[in-house]
Amino acid sequence: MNIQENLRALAAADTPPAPFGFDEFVQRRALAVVRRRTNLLSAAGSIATLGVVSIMALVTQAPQQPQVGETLSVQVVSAPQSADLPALVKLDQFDVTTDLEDHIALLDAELSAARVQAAPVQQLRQMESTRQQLNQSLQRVTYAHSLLNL
Amino acid sequence: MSRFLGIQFDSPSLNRAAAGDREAQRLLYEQIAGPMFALVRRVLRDRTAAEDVFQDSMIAVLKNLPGYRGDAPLGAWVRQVTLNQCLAHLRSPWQKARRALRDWAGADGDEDFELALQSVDLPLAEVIDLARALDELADTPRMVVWLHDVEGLTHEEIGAAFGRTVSFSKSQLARAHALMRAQLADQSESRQALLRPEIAAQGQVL
Repeated sequence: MNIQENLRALAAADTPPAPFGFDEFVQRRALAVVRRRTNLLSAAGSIATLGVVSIMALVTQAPQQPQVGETLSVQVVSAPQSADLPALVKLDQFDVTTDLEDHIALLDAELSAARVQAAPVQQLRQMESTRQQLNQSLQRVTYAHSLLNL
Repeated sequence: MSRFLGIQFDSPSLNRAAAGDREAQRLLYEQIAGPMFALVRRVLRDRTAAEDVFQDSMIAVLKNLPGYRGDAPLGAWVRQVTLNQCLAHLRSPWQKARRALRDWAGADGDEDFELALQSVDLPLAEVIDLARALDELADTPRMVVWLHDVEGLTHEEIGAAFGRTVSFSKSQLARAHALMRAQLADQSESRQALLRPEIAAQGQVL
């Protein structure tokens, strides 16, 4: 059995008519042009609206700069970090860093479990990448806090 | 032989069509629409998609006609434009997702084309089997088979069209032929089994 010859015979015999005539093709082409223009205009409109909204948001937002002499409403509590040295902890800063640290610890546990269960490499890479991002965030936040506390 | 190679269009009419003459464009459309749609519907199994790609290919031909220099036969050029449109469709991530969804939904999503047979040297059952075996192939091997066996493209040309190597085309073709042979053998066996008297009798009893 020669597939090639049979296929050629099939192709020669199977002569489907065009799905539509020339006049319908012209109509469909005109419709497609209109639809493309509409889509383009719609996309341009959406981008313009987004731009206007962003500008409005920037313009209407009052600049908030700390005033000299203004008291910062920072909750300060004492936390016994070590028995010898009582420390003052700013609660809002403490919350942020603790949250990040908790996330990292949780992710570490999940990562260990995934390695034990021989999870797919892609999943492991994704988890490691997330962990790295969280770690970087923690470093940045810690640095920002240290600047604030100067 | 490829039906594209049978396209004949005189140069003055071609120039008029390129210049936007509606009647010349109509004549050209009537010449190329058949082979173009035959290729598109063999490559894409979905009727709506085939009609869309056919329309896009025709638009591309008419749009790029002023750039056609006549280095290659008109039919070969039209075939290349059509092939590029088909490949663009198959590569589109949106269309890939659509096909995956359709395949996942099952055979109900497929719209098989009916054969539009004029006269064929092969028995009708064999023709139907062959068309079915071809349709069973995945998009890429089916396209490679059709381009090589029917359109007469070389492995180099097919590899270049897909942006792959010559061996890609060769291996796709060999694998597709093997699959089609297996499929045709299965279909032939089941047809012969149905024709055996004892099984036919069982069929009547059932």
